[in-house]
Amino acid sequence: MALIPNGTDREPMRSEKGSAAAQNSAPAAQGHAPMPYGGPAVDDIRMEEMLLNVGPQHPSTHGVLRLLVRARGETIVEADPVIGYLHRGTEKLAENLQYTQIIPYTDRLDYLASMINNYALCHTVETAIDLEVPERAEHLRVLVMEMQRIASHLLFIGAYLLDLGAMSPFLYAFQERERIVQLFNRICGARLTYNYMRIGGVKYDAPEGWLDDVRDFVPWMKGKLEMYDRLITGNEIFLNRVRGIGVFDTKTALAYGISGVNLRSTGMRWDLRRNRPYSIYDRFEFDIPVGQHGDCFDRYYLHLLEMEQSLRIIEQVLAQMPDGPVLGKVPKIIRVPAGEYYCGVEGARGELGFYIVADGKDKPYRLKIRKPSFVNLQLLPELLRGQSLSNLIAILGAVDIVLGEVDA
Amino acid sequence: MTEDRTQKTESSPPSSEAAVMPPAAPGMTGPPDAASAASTAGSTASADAAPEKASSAKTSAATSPSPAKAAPPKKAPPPPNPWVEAAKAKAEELAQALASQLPNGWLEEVGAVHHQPMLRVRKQHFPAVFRAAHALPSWELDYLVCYTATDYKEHLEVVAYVESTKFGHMVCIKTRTEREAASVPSIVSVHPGANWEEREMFDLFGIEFTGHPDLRRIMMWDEYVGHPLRKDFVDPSLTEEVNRDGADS
Repeated sequence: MALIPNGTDREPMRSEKGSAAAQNSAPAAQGHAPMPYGGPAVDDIRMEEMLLNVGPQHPSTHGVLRLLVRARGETIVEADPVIGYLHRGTEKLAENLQYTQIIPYTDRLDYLASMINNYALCHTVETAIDLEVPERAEHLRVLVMEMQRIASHLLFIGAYLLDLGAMSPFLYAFQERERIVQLFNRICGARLTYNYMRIGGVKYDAPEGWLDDVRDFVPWMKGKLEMYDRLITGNEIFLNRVRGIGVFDTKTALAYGISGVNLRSTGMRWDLRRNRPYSIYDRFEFDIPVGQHGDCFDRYYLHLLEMEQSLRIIEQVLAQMPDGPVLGKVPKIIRVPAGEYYCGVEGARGELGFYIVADGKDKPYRLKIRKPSFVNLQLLPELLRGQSLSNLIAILGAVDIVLGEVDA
Repeated sequence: MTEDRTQKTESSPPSSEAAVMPPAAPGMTGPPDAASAASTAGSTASADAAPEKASSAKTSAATSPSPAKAAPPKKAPPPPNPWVEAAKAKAEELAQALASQLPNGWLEEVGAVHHQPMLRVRKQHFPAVFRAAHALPSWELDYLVCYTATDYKEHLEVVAYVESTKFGHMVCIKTRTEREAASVPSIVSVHPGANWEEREMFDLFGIEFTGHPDLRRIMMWDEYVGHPLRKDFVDPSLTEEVNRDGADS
């Protein structure tokens, strides 16, 4: 005995009657309304059930997600995501805004992929009013969207590794992302909420030398991706941490409406850029990488592979960038003819769709956002059930949600 | 192209709802004619358009200027938008394929929203339609894309876009419910991914989804009163001075 004098038979750190904390939590656990899905059969071993609150300020919840976890020992019996902390009522606000005025609000949905949000709205309205978008504008849009996808995926990888306890990839990721953010800053004057696209095109043409800088960026980024691959993919600690956990199959994914990387990790080749082609994606050559096991590792690796494909698209866009105007002939006030319109695009996190009910006025009668994070998050309770508590963060991180979008 | 567009606006959604409402009882009779008219050609199509116009004028006297103005150009482009016609034909095809598996009177309207086939079904058969469409061999509508509701002031409409990941069809399936004590049977048993969307509709529209495993508010807090996405909703914090201070803090 080092701390307690010899001859003392007391061990003060040990509680005789079970821990006080466990006893205090017992009534709360019983008093709580039964969880919706029920739990696995009670084991023979008697264990205290514990209610654990994760978030809404937990750093690894990527925002203000609260998880109400019921655990038996270290095993998760039930996890119930509580959302709505960032609910701003974007859909209601949009009913009182002109179509162009909604664009800045879309920036704040998935704030890591604002360009794609901008595009999804503009694309839906353009489809509704049958508006021709100039070639150069389309090319610029695809260019910034793919850069945005890279920036978003970079942040995913950095933040995911940080959740798992690896500090340096996060710093690297931010360094690379910074270069994209700087490029965005030069083309539209903002680093996060770009408000760059307009119905009928984009707001600004690329400034002098900007395209050349993007051209320089591509090979540089390719080298960085190789570095990531060397740094992270083969890391044994990381592999042991993420391989074979959070597994689901294609059938489950489709039943839950999962989209994006989460769906592709199960081996399903489903990318809206191919399956429901929009913009000018049909002109470019790119692959759709898919996973095999549907586990967290596949989801991580797909992010890496998709960045490579995005770089391929960027190269092709740069090679065929035409001259011309960047904003089409658009009426001063855009009135969408009465009707219902739905358009989905491949966002950084899955299918991002806008559903507009128009009544012929300059404002939508109803606007619904099909939020990929919101839909994907539904699967989380299923993935967590029966898992060890220590896997919670690894599984949650790989689902890749952004709370600005979940709560909208 | 723009002419097609104007044509489409008259022949599809909200304005046309009043127009297409009358054949609710026979259900199938109205749209099949439209589909056959499209195949036979322009003259029948314009003849088909005329009664539709008349009925819309009858039902919406308040908006008389717009139908009156829309009347001449409506006859001018004889074949309506081919995309819309194709969608209608496809909706018809689906309705016929589904009919054998569903009880009589399940269908209220067959048509198109924008360029997508649309079926409007009676709400008590709502989940059954999804189940049947999911199992239908040449359709397999297995992926719930977008699921939401709209408040049309006289009624609430629940809209779902379902897609077949195998064949690539995308179909819009709708149902209506009255605003007072609004309720629609849940489709969670067919599409588990509808769970949170239905909770959101319950929260923001006040639609009760019967058979839902876990119907609670999702965006607003549990004690919240009111359904913000309804058109008659007034935010109490904008009208009461006391609350405004609270809301700003």
